[in-house]
Amino acid sequence: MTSQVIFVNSCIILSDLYYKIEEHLWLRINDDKSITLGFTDVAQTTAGRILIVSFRPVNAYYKQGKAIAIVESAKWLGPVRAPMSGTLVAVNEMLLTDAGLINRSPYKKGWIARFQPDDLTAGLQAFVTGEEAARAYEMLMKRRNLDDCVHCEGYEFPDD
Amino acid sequence: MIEVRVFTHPTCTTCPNAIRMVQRLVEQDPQVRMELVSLATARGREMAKALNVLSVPTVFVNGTRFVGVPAWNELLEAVRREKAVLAKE
Repeated sequence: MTSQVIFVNSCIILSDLYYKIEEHLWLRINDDKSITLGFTDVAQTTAGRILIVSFRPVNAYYKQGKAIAIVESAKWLGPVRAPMSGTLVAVNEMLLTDAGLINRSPYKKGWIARFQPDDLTAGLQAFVTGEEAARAYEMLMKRRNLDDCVHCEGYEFPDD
Repeated sequence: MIEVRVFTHPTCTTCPNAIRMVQRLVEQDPQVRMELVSLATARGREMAKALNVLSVPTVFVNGTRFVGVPAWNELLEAVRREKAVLAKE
């Protein structure tokens, strides 16, 4: 699928990713049917400067909804939850020393974890993609009165 | 008058560098005026949208746009160009 950049209130939404809007989570389906996940552009703006990321053990099994990482910013601290039941196969260790990568490159270098889900097809039911994701984000931002996204110097735009 | 507009946001770590640089310019050149535009305000976000500002800091010397902290020499050069345009008018 070709990736298109969709702007929603200055926030970048990539059309080929899947989103769990309420949790500000994106996921990308890899060739081996594992998934890579991370925080969205909206999340990095809302959280502010991200300071610390810590991970739960890799190669362990997590039920859907269990915390697999903790992200701490200047004004927010919260878990990244397993989007579906499965095995955490890798984490982005670069975030241990440079958590700000999530702010600067939320969809590329700032990925958080790779996960091997038990049932990808069923798990994707809770996600939206493409234009539907953009519309859902627009509604969420309006409902929660979220600010437009801010990209600080060094931000890696998807087509950079 | 040459207007230098600096788009900033409180979370931006390099924005203070851009602001300091433009302040220095204002101090040494009475023809230069600085306008700070914070994307933390509704007005700032509207202005950013209108000018398609996607990241901060972004600095405008009238119509010349610098994305990121500009080099001092490039900033001076942009001001010099704008002065030349003003002189012709």
